[in-house]
Amino acid sequence: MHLSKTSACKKSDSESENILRFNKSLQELRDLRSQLHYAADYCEATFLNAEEKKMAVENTKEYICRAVVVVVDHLGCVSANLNQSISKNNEFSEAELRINALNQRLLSCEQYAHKLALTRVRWNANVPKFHRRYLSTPITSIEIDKSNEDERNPTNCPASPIVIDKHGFEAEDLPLFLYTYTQKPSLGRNSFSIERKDSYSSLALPVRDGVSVLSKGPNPTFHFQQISQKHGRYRLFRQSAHSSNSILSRIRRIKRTT
Amino acid sequence: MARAGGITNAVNVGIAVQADWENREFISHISLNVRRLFEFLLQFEATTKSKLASLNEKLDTLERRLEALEVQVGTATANPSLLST
Repeated sequence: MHLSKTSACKKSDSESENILRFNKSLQELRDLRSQLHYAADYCEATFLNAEEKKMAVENTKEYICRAVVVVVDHLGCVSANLNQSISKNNEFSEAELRINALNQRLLSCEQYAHKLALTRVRWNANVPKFHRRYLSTPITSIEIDKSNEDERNPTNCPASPIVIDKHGFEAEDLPLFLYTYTQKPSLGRNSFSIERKDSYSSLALPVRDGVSVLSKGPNPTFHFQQISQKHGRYRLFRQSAHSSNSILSRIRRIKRTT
Repeated sequence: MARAGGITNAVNVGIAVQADWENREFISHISLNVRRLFEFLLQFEATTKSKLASLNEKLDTLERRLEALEVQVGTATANPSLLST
């Protein structure tokens, strides 16, 4: 701070000195104007009073030439110095650079503050997400199932709400991991759920965790034979036995004919 | 003699006329140079004025930017909660 004050004082002193010099030079110029008038009067007087007027004219010519040359030299010097002092913009450019740097720093600080403020204001979506297998089936389909069962079996008592699906599993006997609910929750499709009640019941198959059976669609090119599981092997055995008996009877017939 | 006197008079007149023309030429040269000098002075004044005006404009912009920076710094220091958030 002290150094800056001393430098400021020095600068003010130099500026005041320059102003004084300029004023002094201006006063000298004004004095020179009067001296020029005196010189012109002297030349005129010498020309009128001189016997050899040619010499007086030559002297005045020489004086005028020297005066003009001096004036031109002086003006050139002054203009060069002024032009040089004006073209010296290093201090201004340095000051501009410093101001630019300060502006940049302030802008960066402002941006950082805005970022911090935005993180406060921003909406943070902390919506709880549940696994789909823990979602319950739509209420309408369950109620419709119950009402249909009541219509079919009017003798059933309504106090036993145990639901038995097509595959013979009881809902209460199965552990939790055996149930998967593949249907997407669509709340606005009650009429659709009413119409396709059986398809929903078929979709709600008991599948073990990790097995993606229902996600894959049925293979259209591959078909199982429509054979009942209960008597499949026995039937085959019976068919094979029947075919062997027919062959033996044919062999006997052939032997008889021969 | 009269013919010779007339010739000398004519020569003197011719010399005087030539000297007069030389003087006129010198004066015209001087006036032309003075006019050139004034033209240079006017041009110099114009260029220096433009340069000083550009410098003044630069200094004005610098002053304004400095003032704006001072105001921004003042507001930032007056509200430290902006930076401490």
